[in-house]
Amino acid sequence: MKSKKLWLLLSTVAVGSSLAACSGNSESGGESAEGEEGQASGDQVVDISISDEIPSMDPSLVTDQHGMQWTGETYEGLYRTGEEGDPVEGIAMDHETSEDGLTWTFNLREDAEWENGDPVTANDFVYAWQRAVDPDTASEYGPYMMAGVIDNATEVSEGEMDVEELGVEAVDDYTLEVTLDKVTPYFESLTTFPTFLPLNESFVEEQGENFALEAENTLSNGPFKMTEWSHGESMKFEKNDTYWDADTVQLSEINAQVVKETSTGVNLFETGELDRVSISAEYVDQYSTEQSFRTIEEPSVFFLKMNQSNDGPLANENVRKAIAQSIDKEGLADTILNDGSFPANGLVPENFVTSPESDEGFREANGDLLPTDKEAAQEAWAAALEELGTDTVEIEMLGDDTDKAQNINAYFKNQLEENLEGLTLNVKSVPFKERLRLSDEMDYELSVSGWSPDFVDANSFMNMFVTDGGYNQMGYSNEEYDALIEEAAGDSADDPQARWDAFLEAEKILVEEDAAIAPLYQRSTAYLWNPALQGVYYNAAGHDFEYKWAYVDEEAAE
Amino acid sequence: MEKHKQEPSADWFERVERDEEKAQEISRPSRTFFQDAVRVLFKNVPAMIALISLILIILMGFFGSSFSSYGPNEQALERSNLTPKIPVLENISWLNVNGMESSVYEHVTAEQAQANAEVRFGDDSEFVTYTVLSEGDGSPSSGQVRADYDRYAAAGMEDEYFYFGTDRLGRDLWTRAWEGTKVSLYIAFLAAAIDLVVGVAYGGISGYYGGRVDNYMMRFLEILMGIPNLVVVILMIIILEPGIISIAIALAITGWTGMARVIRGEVLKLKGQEYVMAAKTIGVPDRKIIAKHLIPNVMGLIIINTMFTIPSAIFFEAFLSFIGLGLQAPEASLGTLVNDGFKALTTTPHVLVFPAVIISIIMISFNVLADGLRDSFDPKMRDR
Amino acid sequence: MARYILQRIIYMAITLFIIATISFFLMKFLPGTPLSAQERLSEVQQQIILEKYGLNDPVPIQYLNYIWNLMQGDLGISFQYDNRSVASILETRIGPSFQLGIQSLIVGSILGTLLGIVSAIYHNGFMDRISTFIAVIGTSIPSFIFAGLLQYFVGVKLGWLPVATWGGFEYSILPTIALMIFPMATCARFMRTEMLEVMGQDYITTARAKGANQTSVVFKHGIRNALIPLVTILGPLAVGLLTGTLVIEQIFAVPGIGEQFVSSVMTNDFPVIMGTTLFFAFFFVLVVLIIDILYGIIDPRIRISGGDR
Repeated sequence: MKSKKLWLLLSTVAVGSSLAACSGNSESGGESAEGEEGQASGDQVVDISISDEIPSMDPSLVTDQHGMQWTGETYEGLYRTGEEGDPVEGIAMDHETSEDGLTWTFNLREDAEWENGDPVTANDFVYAWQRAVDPDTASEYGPYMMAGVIDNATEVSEGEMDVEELGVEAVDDYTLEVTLDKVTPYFESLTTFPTFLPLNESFVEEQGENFALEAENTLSNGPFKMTEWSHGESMKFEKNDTYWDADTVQLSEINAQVVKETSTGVNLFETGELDRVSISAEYVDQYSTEQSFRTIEEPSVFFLKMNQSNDGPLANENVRKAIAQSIDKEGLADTILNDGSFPANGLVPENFVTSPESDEGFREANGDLLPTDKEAAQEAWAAALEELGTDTVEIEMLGDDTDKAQNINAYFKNQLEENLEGLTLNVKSVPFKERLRLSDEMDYELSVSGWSPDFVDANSFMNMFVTDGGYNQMGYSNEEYDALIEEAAGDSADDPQARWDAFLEAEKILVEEDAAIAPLYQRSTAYLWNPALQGVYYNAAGHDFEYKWAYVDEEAAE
Repeated sequence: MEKHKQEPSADWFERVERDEEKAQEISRPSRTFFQDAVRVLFKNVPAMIALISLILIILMGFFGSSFSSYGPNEQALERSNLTPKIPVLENISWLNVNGMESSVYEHVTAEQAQANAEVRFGDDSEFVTYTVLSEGDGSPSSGQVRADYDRYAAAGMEDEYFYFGTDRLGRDLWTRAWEGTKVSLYIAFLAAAIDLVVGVAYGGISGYYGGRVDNYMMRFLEILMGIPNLVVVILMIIILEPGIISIAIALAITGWTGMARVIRGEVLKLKGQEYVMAAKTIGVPDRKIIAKHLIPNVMGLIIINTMFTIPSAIFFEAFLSFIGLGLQAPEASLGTLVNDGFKALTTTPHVLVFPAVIISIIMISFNVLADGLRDSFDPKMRDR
Repeated sequence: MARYILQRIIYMAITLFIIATISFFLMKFLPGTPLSAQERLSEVQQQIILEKYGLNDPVPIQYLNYIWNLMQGDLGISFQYDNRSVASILETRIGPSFQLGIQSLIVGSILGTLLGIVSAIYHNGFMDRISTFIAVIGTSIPSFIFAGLLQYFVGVKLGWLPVATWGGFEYSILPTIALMIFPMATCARFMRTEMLEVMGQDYITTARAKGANQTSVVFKHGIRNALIPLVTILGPLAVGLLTGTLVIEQIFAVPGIGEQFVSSVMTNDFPVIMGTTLFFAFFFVLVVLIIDILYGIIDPRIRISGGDR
């Protein structure tokens, strides 16, 4: 599996209880030998594999999963995602929100230090945020995350305003005041995202072009610091003793080894050289009953994008409905993916957000939208052929070119062609980046796409398909849908229940009524995981894994 | 030892008339160079075995898939990853082609290991037979149980036979392996044919005309040969998008240079031979000299060279598949099949074994046959 | 000789120049920019990024800039790894590949030569059969299958050597073995025919006639003369190892240049693809040149006629 495939998939906060069990905080055997922090025993060194070299360790520039992961561990932002998935104290101890919800004032702790002994101050945040939106930095996520959220971010990123105009200000060294563009209910969750991490201005300026290129060009204020970076080979992160909460951190060392072949990773795990490695479908059957086997559910949803912009067959609603209901998603999830992934019947994932008034999740509330129903699909198909006045339809499907994706593509081809008579599906497998480009230029008919949230809010999914939205990329346009999303962001932004209802309604329109996309599955990843490695939490957005509270308990392994 | 001393007598000898006719007679049937080469080749046992294997494999490439009722892209997830099951041979236990999926479960005791296995098989437990290998003494992995899981029965297809098993999507690997063989051979032959045409033409022209033409053409060739072929192939694939034709073209773009150089050298040598000069002197046109004298004489060289090109093209194709630049799904070649199998080398070895064996047999056969041909055409010919 | 070398160096430069030109224009045909997510970038930002990579200029200007930078050893900046220069990426990757390449070439050719000699001495005997078999298998089975089997059986099952990754010498053993199979087999086949030919020469018969014993014939006359042509195939073999490194490095998680090349192909990282291509080409022509010069030194016949070749 190629990591580049995953870089869309980002952001903060955790997942509900079902994940907690996977995250190693379940009570496991072994007497607690030490204090309440529990059962740390043996060498506190962890070796894990990552699937690719990190393209960047600069928090303003990171775009991929691995870069996010390790900037998340080496820097501390205003808040950090805690065990329960909610933001917990980071550099900020707390904050006040003004009555109109537009001004957030963060009170920073005074004992936080950078690795070099400099104090971490409000100015570090101001500098980092300004740097992220500054067009000269050419950050992808800076403007993307801040525009429309922080006052003047859009104008600054387009070069129309000076960076100083950005709505962030250091009232004094330990008070940070942020002015928002509009009420943003999920802003607290955003502050855990890498783009919002602080930077030490004098260090960054002194390093210039070399900043974050090598281990010695990085400066940490987080739980870990990067001490070795052999490009393409491995990285070493050691406990950062100057971290304000260093007492909590138990791991002394994390080694991340670049391993691209799954079989190699499994072999390294077998010989004890790795404590955690992700595995592909082929290995799941072999390891599924072992103590070290684990699956971690992610809030990433995969779906078929259907380009409705041209006069092709997909502009026809019945064609889309036929396609959406034709694929046996159970088989896809259980046999082909075989890693704990499960069918998705909607855009917003399960175990992601819950109703403001009850514990009911989004998926439970909205039910299965357009689930697999081959007969209904064939009816829709018959109607579609009549409307199109033809009996053969040819459609091209864009997919990734990884081994896993090639299997999925072949499966879709077979499923659709078998169920929908007269359909010819031509598969075009391309590298991930190429797929993004073709999507961006709307040069495709069907595309197997995925989405992971950037922040924990249904809006992270729902705002994708507004008319002319940056990620719409398929010419979908429905006034009713637009109005609902608009309402959720504007009028009812401070009425959680109205917002919730608007999103539920919008999803129904998108998936059920218009069949604009065909949801496929919600991803889960299978791991071989040394049972001794505990206390690692999985984040729904931002960096994937949180090691701040992790520890090694050799006794638990037995 | 007793010595006999005897004078030779005249009647011991018989006078033979000298027969002018008979002296000129050739006692054995006259053979052309080719007939001779073929005769030598037929006496070469390994080369013959190789030739027969190749013919068999090519035949299987065309007709193998008709022995199975499943198409190469026919999927059914309920028969995913079945192990091979071959009639008759299924009764020979060590061959392990009885459609059973055997795995060993370990735990502190055999009972617990079996419990573990039962969790894994869930509802299908009725199709599993357990054999205790060791009872276990309470230490980790000391209890071992072997589980034989009859996947065919579990999938309700006791009477079906998938000779090579199936893959994750439930596709019949027998059909796919032979279809893949056909595709791989097709790519290789196509690449070799392009090599042959371009290489022979280029080398022939350069060698035959000689002089300035030869000089320029060879300088150009030298520069081309300075470019690492692997890099060119990869660059070409990026541009052409993977497919049968584009892979063949990418392979041929660098492949013909070797052929051109060999042919040019040979033509240059032949051109100086007396019989060519004689033909020239008596006014035979170039066209005829090339067709009558040169081509038949470089034929052996061309065949041998082509024989070495084909396996290397197959090899390259497999290699491209491995680094992700091979054919697109659902199309299969031996390379993509080997690559699929490699991903699960330890879990479902049957996916790898069969295509890997076929690819190896093809490679070995071509190499051995080419060696044999070289020996028969010219025992002194050597690697270039 | 000097004139010959000079001539060869000029060809080398021309070859490299042509490769640079071809790869530059090929890359221009392909989609792919340093902008990995255009929808996230404002117009101003896109311009700034394109400016940084010099992609705003017309193509001919870009080409001239590229060639000019190239002559100063500047291969540009990677699209994929922010701000990292192609030269520095190559620099960190050369070491492991070089080590693997050298080790497998040396061990492979020595073992192969020995096999070939044994084969020739016991022509058509049992040892000949065995070594011919090894040689045929070695050239016929794709190296990544060897690699996978070695890793699983020697690394995991027997636990004798590290499974993968890069560390001390012991980490290089398995990938070296996997890589050397091909050169070994090729050398064995070549050496066998070469030895057989040499052993049939008149001077060998003469030596025997003069009463030289088998050992002295084989070592003093046979091997010495058979070894000379072996030098000619070392060049192609060294270059052929490149192909091997692409997959072997990936399987053994070795941070080498081959693995880097594959991953840059997969991410459309054109500056790195071009840089690596040029590096490979440079290496290729250099090896061929060295081999040719070496051959000239060893074999006097070439030396004399070398000048006007």
